[in-house]
Amino acid sequence: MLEIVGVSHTYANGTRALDNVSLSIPRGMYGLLGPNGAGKSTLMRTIATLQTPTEGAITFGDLDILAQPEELRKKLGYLPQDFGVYPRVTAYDMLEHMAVLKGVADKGDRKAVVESLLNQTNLWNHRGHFIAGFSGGMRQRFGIAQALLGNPELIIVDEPTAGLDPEERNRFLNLLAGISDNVVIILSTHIVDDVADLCPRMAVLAGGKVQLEGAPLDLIAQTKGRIWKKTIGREELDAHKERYQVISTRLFAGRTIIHILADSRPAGFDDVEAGLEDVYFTTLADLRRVA
Amino acid sequence: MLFNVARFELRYQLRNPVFWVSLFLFFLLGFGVTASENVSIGTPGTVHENAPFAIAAMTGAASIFYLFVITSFVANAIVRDDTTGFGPIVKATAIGKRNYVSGRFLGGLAVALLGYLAVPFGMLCGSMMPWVDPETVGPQNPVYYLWPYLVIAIPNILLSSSLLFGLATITRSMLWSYIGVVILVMGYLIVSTIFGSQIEYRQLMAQYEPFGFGAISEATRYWTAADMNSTLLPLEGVLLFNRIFVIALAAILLALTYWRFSMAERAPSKRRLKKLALMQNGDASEPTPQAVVSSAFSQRFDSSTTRAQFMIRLKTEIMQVCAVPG
Ligand SMILES: Nc1ncnc2c1ncn2[C@@H]1O[C@H](COP(=O)(O)OP(=O)(O)OP(=O)(O)O)[C@@H](O)[C@H]1O
Ligand SMILES: [Mg+2]
Repeated sequence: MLEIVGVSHTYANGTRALDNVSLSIPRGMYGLLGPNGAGKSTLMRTIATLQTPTEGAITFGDLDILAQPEELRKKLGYLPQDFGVYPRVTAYDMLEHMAVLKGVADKGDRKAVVESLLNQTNLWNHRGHFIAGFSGGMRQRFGIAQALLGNPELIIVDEPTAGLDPEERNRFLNLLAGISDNVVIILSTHIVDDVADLCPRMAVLAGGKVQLEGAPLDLIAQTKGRIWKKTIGREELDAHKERYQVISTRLFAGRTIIHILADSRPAGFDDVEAGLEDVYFTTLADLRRVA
Repeated sequence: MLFNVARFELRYQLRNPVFWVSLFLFFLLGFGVTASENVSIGTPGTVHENAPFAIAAMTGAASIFYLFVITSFVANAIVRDDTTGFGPIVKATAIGKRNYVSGRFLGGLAVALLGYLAVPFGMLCGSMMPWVDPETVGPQNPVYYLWPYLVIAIPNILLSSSLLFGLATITRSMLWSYIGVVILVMGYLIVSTIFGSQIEYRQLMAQYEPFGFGAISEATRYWTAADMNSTLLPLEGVLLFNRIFVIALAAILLALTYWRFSMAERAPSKRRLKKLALMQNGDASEPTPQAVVSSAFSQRFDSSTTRAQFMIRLKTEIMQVCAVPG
């Protein structure tokens, strides 16, 4: 549905943030993972027509979005990674104004849409307060509310759960999961499990390139029998890093759990039920080895 | 949609304290001119405090100072999206360039025009104060206030607003808009003092001087005090020419701004990309940082620390101010 072909972007300061990215994104939820500075936000802003790429083509259905950005914006819901708000405007007024911009022309419709979104994002009790005085998570929820306004066909949310408390995060993920399957939803996040739970397809971006693309379940299946774990003391870590290809280390109750990549089980290591996080770390570890 | 965008802008600015402060200041300005015998602008003694000529002169003069206030309405209308960080959200909607630019401009302009009503209103109130010598006050006539507002103030404010809107759109910074205004006003004052005093430039000044002073003095050159007390500025001849010129200039500035404005951030040009590619080839290998942090350093909190803290803050602030905002 959304076709990204050979998109590259170089910023004016010379940073090559996207390097020949090609993705084919079907309807439904699509997860974007990648380390800080991978180019996720750049890609999302580019799809959202906020910046034109230095190279490449993007089409949404039959629509060439680089040639007709205004047409795409009519179908778009976008939540930037970080955004500010105007001072002295209440959540209700701002959302109602956004509804006008999104083309909800009828006053009654607008009222209904705004009220239901305020409800869904649990902001109803704060509707009369200035957004500039909101807490970080409340502001984020306002951002979510405006992104979902007006039946968008393409929803782009850049780290939408950042700053949300666990309860609100769940509420949001459920809200997102409840949106019709006809909509393309692109979600970037650092919470790998969210992608595993929600997205039938995903991609890992790093260094401006697509490193991995596919269905989380397939990708997890591919690492089966290649990931092993061991619990060690902190002082043993360096020795293990030299001997094995350690893809992740995690602390648990003061001990270190390491996951390594190996084609057969080394002595002293246990089986693990590989998760998407292992896939992700494997991809990054491969990348580092090549570099 | 356009109407809604402009209305939102208007309502937003009406909540801005700057609007109310400026309303108050410009009210005082108008009030002071008529309520005080010592203050007058270029009118001979027998001309009433509320003579149509005096009102017209004041309406024109105050519009120069008003430029600074307009910056906060009109420039803010377009820069706000960048400074607050709400821009990406608005620009990703179906608002469209036409509605975005013209809605913001019309909203800002409406606020500016509304705020400027304080000047004639202040003059009206000032001339009705009990301490003002009744000898110096002529009959009150609302048209005396409205006509200069229409003929002088509206075109002047339209031009000022277009100018600032353009400045703000191109510089994307309030600071640069203010700096631009200061430079323009200074330049205007210098040019108009140099050429205004020379007879051979009088006609030229009357035609093209953007605030209309030259045109007003040309149109009223042979007026007696009785004329000044009773006659409205005739919208004809050089004054008409000047006003049309001002409106046309505003339209050109607006068109340029519209053309320059882009909803999406443009990718760097091909030429720039080539230059960047060349620059990057010259990069030397980077030094690697120390991997292990030693805890051998000490921390002190005494007077030398205070001095060091002060110096580093000072340095940072200076760098911040001097660095090109953008
Ligand atoms: N406006 C900009 N000007 C110059 N360089 C930029 C700009 N925005 C991003 N970059 C650079 O582009 C690269 C990709 O940035 P981007 O914000 O897309 O990463 P990201 O994947 O979203 O990271 P994060 O997980 O931290 O949000 C980074 O190296 C960043 O420094
Ligand atoms: Mg990002």
